[in-house]
Amino acid sequence: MEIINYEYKKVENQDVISAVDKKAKEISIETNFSQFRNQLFCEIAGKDIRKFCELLNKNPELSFEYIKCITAVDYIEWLEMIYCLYSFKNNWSVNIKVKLDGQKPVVDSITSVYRGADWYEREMAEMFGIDIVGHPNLKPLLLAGDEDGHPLRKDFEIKWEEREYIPPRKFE
Amino acid sequence: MGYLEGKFKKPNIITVSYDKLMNAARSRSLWYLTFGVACCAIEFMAAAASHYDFERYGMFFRASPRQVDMIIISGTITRKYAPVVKRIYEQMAEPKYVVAMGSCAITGGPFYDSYSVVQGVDKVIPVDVYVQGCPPRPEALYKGLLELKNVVNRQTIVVKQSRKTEFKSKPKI
Repeated sequence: MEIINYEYKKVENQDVISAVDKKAKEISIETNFSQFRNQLFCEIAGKDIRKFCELLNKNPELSFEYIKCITAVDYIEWLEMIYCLYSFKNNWSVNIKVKLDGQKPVVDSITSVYRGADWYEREMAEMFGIDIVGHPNLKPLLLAGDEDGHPLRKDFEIKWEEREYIPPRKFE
Repeated sequence: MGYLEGKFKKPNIITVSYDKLMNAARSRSLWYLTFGVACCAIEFMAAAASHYDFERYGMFFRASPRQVDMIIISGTITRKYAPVVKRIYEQMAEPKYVVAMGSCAITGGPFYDSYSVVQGVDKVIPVDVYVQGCPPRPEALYKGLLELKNVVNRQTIVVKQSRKTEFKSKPKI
């Protein structure tokens, strides 16, 4: 029986920054790194997200194979989408922030790069009204599908009143 | 029992003793569906497992809705899930009973003003016993189930029931 000794290297954010920044400059993507409470954030423009994710996924040195989560935050003038990626090989995790327009947010889908982003993008489309281009199957995931408005936006009203039960309409 | 249902118009000595026998048999063996929706399901499982035991009252779990007598709705019902609950209820065979457990199943609970919550499961299916609590302790669920036994004992099979006098009442403990 082999005894394998693992050496845990301490992961520092500076390694991640230098590695990703070098690779991103070759494809001419502008990145803007910042740290908050020991987590790494990287801001890029909205149209570059697909190329950037392909770079992070396919590159054997970076190898961010795993998408942890996709969320969004509604600042009223603009809307921010956050993609959390993780690399098993290097134990690196990075959060990518994308700024979108507040009235009509449009972003590319990264389902062709990461298969796990499928359901997260469906949730973003129904909860925030983000128009995701190129998604294979954009049915409502958690909601019943016939609310007027998008629930997690700031201008969605919540009232304390008794509502009737109306059965949701069916989707094919 | 299908032959004798509704044969008599008024309760008399035959119907009273027949009903007493049938209700005594029915109330001592109510089978329930393994149907846990949300956090109240943990308390429901705790009440059904070995420290507090359901089986000493004759209640046993079955996994198929066609083979059970009662269903315990334990948790929040959202608008997307309500047709499923209605469908499961329609698949149960008569006589069937529903217990609404926890404040989410009674009136929507702490999520009363949410955009996706049905305010109380009795807007979807008829409920017999309401058990309050968030979540109710196993002892409280036991009180609700013993009250369900009283509901079963009040029922009648052989007396013809018109629409005005419904013998199936909805008590609240």
